[in-house]
Amino acid sequence: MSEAFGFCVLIAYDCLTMGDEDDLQDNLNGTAKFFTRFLLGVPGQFEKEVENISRRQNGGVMSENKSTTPRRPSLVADAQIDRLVRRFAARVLFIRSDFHAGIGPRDPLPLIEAEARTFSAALALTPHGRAYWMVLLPEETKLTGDPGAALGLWIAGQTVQMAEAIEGGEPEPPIKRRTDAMLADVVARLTGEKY
Amino acid sequence: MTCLSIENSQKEFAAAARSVSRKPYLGDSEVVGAYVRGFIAGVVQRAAVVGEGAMKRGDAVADDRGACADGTAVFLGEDPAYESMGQWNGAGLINWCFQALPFEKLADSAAQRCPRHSASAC
Repeated sequence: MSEAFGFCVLIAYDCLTMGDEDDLQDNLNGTAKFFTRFLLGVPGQFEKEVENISRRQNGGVMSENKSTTPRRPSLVADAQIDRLVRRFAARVLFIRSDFHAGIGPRDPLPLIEAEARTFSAALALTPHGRAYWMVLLPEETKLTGDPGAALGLWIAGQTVQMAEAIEGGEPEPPIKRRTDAMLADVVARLTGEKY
Repeated sequence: MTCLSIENSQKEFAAAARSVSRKPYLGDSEVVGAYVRGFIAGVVQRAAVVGEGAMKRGDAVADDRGACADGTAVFLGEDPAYESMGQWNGAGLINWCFQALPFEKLADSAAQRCPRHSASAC
């Protein structure tokens, strides 16, 4: 039982090492919520976070057994990855709507590419993560020279296509569900849940 | 619908328990949430004090361990200041922890780190 509290301490330490102050507050609130639910016997995110922490400890400097090292695609915490991906997709839509409103540069593509490069820097892909996305997105990687930015461009392309479909008269709820499924898939591949 | 009704009945039960007992009830998500937030705030505050150089890291870790022991005592129903949820705050929560958390993997990795001893002995 005290181990559960110990894991909560480790997750809080983990939160302290990343992000700005707003993100830190969000992460700590999220951790408190997950642990509260856990203590009330509701299955949820806390177990996953514990799994991640123990996986990292087994594969990290605390372990001498290198054969169990997990291949994690990103150095960033799972909750943070989810937030980064969704914020990036939202940012692309904002840039697009600004363009249609006549705000900002005449060609929004360089702006989206710059955003994709910032997104890549924030994602902090590991060598495994870089290789993984390089294989999945070879054309985009050739174009940008950076698998993280390539992923950003791919997400931007998908998001814009889905927005165009809605504007073209397709019903909104299924497109929104598809967008959400696409983003959830990307997040799962960035957290290592899916490979 | 079923989940909603279960959640509502839990809330009603927590409200009823609050009205019967003056002690904070451990089945009340607000009470548990407040305790957990306080616990995490303590950890963060100690880390900040260590960062400022006003406390040794070892002392902060010892305090964190103390806070873990306090939390364990509260949620195992050993703290008379809290109204426990009966069997849940005891065997129920311990079983849940063993079921939900990856103790087997941790024990395996501990055994691999120290193969001459069992995980419990190390």
